[in-house]
Amino acid sequence: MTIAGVCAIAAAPVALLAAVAPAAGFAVAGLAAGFAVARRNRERLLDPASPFVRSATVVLLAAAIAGFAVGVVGVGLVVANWPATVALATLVGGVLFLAWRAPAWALLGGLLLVGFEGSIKILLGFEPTPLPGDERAAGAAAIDLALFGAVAGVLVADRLETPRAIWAQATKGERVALRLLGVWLALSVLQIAQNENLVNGVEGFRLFQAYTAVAVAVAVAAWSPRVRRHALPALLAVTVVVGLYAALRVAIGEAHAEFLFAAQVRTTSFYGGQLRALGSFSSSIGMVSFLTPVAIAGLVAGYLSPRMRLVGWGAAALAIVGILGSYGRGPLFGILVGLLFALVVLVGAGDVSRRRKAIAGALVLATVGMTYLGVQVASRGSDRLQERARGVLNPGQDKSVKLRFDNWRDRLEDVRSHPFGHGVGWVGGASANANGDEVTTDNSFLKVLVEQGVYGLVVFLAGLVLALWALTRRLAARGGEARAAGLAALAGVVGFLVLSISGEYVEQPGKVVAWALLGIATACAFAPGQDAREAEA
Amino acid sequence: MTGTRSAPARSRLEPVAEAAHDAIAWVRAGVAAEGLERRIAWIVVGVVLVLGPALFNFSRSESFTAQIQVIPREVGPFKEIRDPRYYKALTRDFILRDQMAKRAGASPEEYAGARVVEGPRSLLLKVDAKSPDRAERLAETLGPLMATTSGRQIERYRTFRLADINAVLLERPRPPAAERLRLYRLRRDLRRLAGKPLERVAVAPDAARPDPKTWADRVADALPGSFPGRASPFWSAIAGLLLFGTLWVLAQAVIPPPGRSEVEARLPAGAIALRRRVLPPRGDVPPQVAEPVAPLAIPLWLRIAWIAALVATPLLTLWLVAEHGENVPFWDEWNLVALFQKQDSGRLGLGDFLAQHNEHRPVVPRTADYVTAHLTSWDLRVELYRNFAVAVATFVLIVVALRRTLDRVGFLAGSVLASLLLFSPVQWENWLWGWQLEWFLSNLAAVGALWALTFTIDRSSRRGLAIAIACGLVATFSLGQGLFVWPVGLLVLLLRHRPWRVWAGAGVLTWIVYFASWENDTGTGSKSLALERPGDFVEFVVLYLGRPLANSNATGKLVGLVLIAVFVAAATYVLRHRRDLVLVDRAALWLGLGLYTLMGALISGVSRLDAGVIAFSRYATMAMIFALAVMALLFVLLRSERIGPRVVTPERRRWAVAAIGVPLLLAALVNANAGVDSMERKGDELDAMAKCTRAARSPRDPCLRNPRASPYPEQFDWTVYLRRKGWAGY
Repeated sequence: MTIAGVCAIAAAPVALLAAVAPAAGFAVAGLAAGFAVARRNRERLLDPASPFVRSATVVLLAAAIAGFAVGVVGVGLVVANWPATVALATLVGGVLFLAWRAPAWALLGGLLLVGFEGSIKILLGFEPTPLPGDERAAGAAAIDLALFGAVAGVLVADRLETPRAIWAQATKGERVALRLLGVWLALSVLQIAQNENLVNGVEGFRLFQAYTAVAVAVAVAAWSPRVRRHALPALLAVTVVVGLYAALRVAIGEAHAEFLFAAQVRTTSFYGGQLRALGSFSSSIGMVSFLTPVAIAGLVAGYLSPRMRLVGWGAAALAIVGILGSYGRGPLFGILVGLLFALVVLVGAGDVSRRRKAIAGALVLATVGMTYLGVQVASRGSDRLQERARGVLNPGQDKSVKLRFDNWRDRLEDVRSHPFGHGVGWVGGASANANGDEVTTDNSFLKVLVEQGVYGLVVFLAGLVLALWALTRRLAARGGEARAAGLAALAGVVGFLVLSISGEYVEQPGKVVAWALLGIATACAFAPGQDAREAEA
Repeated sequence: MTGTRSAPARSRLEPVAEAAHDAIAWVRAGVAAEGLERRIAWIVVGVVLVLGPALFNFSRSESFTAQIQVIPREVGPFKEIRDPRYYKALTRDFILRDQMAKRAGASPEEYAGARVVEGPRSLLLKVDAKSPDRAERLAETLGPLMATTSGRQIERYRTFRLADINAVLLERPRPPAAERLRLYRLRRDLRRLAGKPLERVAVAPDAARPDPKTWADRVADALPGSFPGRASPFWSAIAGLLLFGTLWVLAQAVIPPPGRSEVEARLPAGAIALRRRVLPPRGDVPPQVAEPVAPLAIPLWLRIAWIAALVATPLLTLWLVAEHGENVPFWDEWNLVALFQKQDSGRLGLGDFLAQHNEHRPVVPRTADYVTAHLTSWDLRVELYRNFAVAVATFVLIVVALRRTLDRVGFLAGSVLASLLLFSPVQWENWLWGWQLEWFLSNLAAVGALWALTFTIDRSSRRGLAIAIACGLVATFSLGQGLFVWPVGLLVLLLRHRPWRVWAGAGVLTWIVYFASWENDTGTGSKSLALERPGDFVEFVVLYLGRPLANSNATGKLVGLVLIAVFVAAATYVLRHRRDLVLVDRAALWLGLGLYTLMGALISGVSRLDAGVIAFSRYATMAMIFALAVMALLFVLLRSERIGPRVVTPERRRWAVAAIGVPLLLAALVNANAGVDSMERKGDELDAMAKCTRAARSPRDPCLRNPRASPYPEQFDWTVYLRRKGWAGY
């Protein structure tokens, strides 16, 4: 490197500052220059016999030290003024680093960030960062970067060998299911253009279809026996953190900043003057979408596997507390159906004793009963909440359910006039305009129908039902830990899909957990070779 | 059943522990491989990234005040108004709020602190915000909106009044002539206002943008982008730590130190050794054989005299408490009434107990006060005895610790001095104020935690850590100073080569929980004053520690300096001889206690310097423990066979104990009389306060104007509430 080059590098940060470059860029450039100069010239700097040393040592050292000092102080200033932004950038950087070196861990890191999406956005809102866009956009972008970075890391490391292996093992019927889901995804890409507003189309695809890649990535990551053994406990452990925060907030009430944030979102945040619990999420429905599959998977995993009992039931208990604090009824219905699904599979399994089946049934009843009791206790805050609690038993008479039915009827009328759909992104968060108005269907499947038309829904539903059926059959035939983890994960997915009937939950953060559970269930159902412990079991 | 025992089942947490071990081993390998240059560079980076942001934000202003001229004017029959309450009321107008939201994106909370004050030539509207630009924007939006609101108000009044007047004038029988004349004139005046500007204030077009006050604000102002508000020093340090850690890990992967591979080659053995050290199998660490405690072989007369000396001061103080304690809430104690009211209305939640009080989170004392109040119909004298009981518990623990660490002479002298220091009437403010359970409880918990980390942990590490963590939590959630139990405890564990990671983890978690949603209490001034006035800060700290043992501020500073110097010297001696495990075991508790109280003094200096260099009586509770720790530390050193080159013979030891004990005894006594007098005065003040607040029948009662008797605006309502409940003697 010539002296001119060194000087240019050392001067770069100063030039950037003079041009009023963003502070972060300036600091990082300075730091990088300092490191680069010091590293590239290390040998020559340490060798006193080198002719280079005689002519340039002083300049090089000065440039390196100056670059280093300016960079470090610059980064220090950035940390001091925008700590939340720096912390988020660091976490995202850490997840991307893991995606490179340990992709399975990166997926967990990404999931954890998704679990705190609301908190991240609130924290970013405290500081006027020099980043473009508002705090919501910046937070969402950072989380997506981490999550999709992790997904990419897993898939690149695998070189798609696992999907090929799954395909090789799949039966004819299973291949049909996989093809249908593939066709639906391809169709979704094409239907982005069907939306009159292309930006909305892309946004709609990002909010829903894009996240299905998480299922593939988790299945790939959990393919090896060692990872598979720890996949569900690890996912539950992450959700314990999220659930713990949600339960804590239910107990002590929301922070002032969370209250203000909740008041700004489009979804219903208050019932009769009571703020619905939102935990670490942007909204209450975001929280329940995340916690519902976790509660189901935790309860089932805890029952089927003593190894996962502590983490499973711990996660489930915390999740249920959060759900009760949200005063939502859809999640309770989702939990009920998810548990019943697991119970039916267990009852149908030949290798499970009658006693265990009876205990499982009793546990489901006990859980449902206790949850209903919890609803009654949690609903004492206002008359409106008590009315909602009564609506759990009489959904047909409930005002909010009636409103949903009216909306569904209107949307079905709309489908008659647009049987081929309006295009991806026409419904839900992507359709929101500047005034905050958006098209809603109050049903995720209806959303697919309205956006992608009759054929889109048929392909999607057929693929999904066939895939679930195939996974159920495979898992029922398996034994030990594979069945325990797989069935628990699949029950979580079923619960989430049931929850999705009552809202556009496929756009909420819970979709990441649901698709991750689907990936675990797939790995448990298809992966060959049991580890020694599993074989023993 | 085969009758053979299977291998013990693997713990469910074992994989987690293994992963943690591997991670630790990896980090240690990285640290070991770093050369000198890289280490220095990393230390510099770490300091800049962690301490830099914290100090930077400590030095920043929390808010900026923009002001705009508001000139009151007469509008027709409406006189000009200079009453600030009128202008404050205008900010509550719903149209103004709507306009503020639309024009400035401001929520009502943001400009709730806006106020109108008398300026040199006119009134000034002052608005606070987190940045100068924001403050300017708010002032420039709020000022004109207040003017239009005042105009709207007059227009509304004019319309309704005119209709009224017309109606009255048309009434039959007609009003008297004089009244009619008055109404005609008023109607004329009101009609003349039509089409004219009705604003009762003229507002200057521009607000003065507040200049950044401190160097840190000026730097932040010079940064690209809009002016960033002050971030929390704690969270910015955490963000820096996170960044530092991530950078280091990245550097290990991208530009590893040259020797990393060789170190990693040795990793398995190192990792195994590390694993055994971090999580030893039960019984793997040989329990420390407790030092035998020799029986206290002293003659009966001496025993009686010793016991009499031990109980004399506590009995005197107890008598003073009984004599001067009053059943009346004082100052911060009134806050509890709000808690009781919430409970009555069914709105009391866990958050009310966790809430901040100034900088503290006194969860435990608040709960104890709440329970005591319900058990005793809030008889505040009971709280005084309860606090005394907590002090007795602390004293017992300290006496037992002295017994375990000192020889006979040191113990006899030390225990008597401890009694004198811990129960000194110099702490009169705390003895007569039930709310001050915070101080007594945090001290008891700190002593308990250090006891567990020093003695209990040698018998059972789990039990020791469990007790210490429980005590640490009590200390932290009693008084802010309690946070320092964690770093001090960590130092004790490291010094004694005991397992420290669980303690450190618990400490980090506690700090995070403590500072979650923590807000700097603006009522207690800026926390960066210590940086701006370092001289005052040092004076504050030495006075804090020395004043209770001296008869004036000047001697107090001297005593404080001497105590700190002796402590630092003794601590340095122990650290230099840390291989002498017996010395370390004996000194650890006192070293920790001294450091804990010293840190308490430092943080009080940071938090309370705005009130001036004053040593309040309430600080004496902490200062006395510092003096006690210094004394015990010196006695521990004297127990050694030699100090440096000098052999410590029994005779020399006795003389040295006397040389330390007698001045300390005199210092402890020098203020005792003044303390007794102060308690009497305080008792009288409380008595007067009780009479005044019990007799008050209106919020405007003259006695309630005394801020000490009535520190809160809600005071009268609270008094009424207590009267209704029959609590606190009302």
